[in-house]
Amino acid sequence: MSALEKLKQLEPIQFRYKAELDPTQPLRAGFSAQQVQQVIPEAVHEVNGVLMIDINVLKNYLRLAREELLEGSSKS
Amino acid sequence: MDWLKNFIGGGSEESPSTWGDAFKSVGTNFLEDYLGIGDSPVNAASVDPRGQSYLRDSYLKSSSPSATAVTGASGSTGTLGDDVAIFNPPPFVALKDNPEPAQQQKQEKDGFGIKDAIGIGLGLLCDIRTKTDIAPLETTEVNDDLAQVAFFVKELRECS
Repeated sequence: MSALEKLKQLEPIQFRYKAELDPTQPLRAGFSAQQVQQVIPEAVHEVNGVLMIDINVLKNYLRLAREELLEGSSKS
Repeated sequence: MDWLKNFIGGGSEESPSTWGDAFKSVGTNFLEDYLGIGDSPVNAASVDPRGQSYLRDSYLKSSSPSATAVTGASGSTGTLGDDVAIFNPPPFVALKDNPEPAQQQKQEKDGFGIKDAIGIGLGLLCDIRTKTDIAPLETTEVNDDLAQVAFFVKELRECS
């Protein structure tokens, strides 16, 4: 599956961290690590029982997706 | 305007203590004097009587450097010997909303640890169990790297 197709399967969400983690609780944009793990498992790591996303892996997918989009537009 | 003439070296012969005359006395040997290889009287006058080993002596004077004299959010200072001061910058820890270093240290002592770290070198805390008010992405109040990726993916999905 291409990077573009994988990114399309991700479900972007808005959320707030729980108050005990972030007392100011601003509205944030991101993903659920559990959902990302199903699509791009290499982008998720477990640290002390908590799932964390490696933003660099996602950025790499973004770069690949852009390249695929550019290739697609140049062919058409 | 005599003071100006004296300053630029145009002073009278009778006032050898002016800036201009002083530079004249140094002459072309200024660099040599500075490096300590010249034989001008300026050399003898400018060399510290404690010699080149001043810093080493100063360091060795105290076998056990004194403990931190001042400690604060922006670091601490200590001394080695009597004359050498050392600045110890605070350790950098990347935590959510970038709190002040003193606050970071307090949080570490209180045992917040990794639970309080939303974005650290290991990754971004995206575990669904740490979140509340979850909904499909519409807007955000924090424009970080993850938000930019999220909105990029949102546009991808909407375009397809």
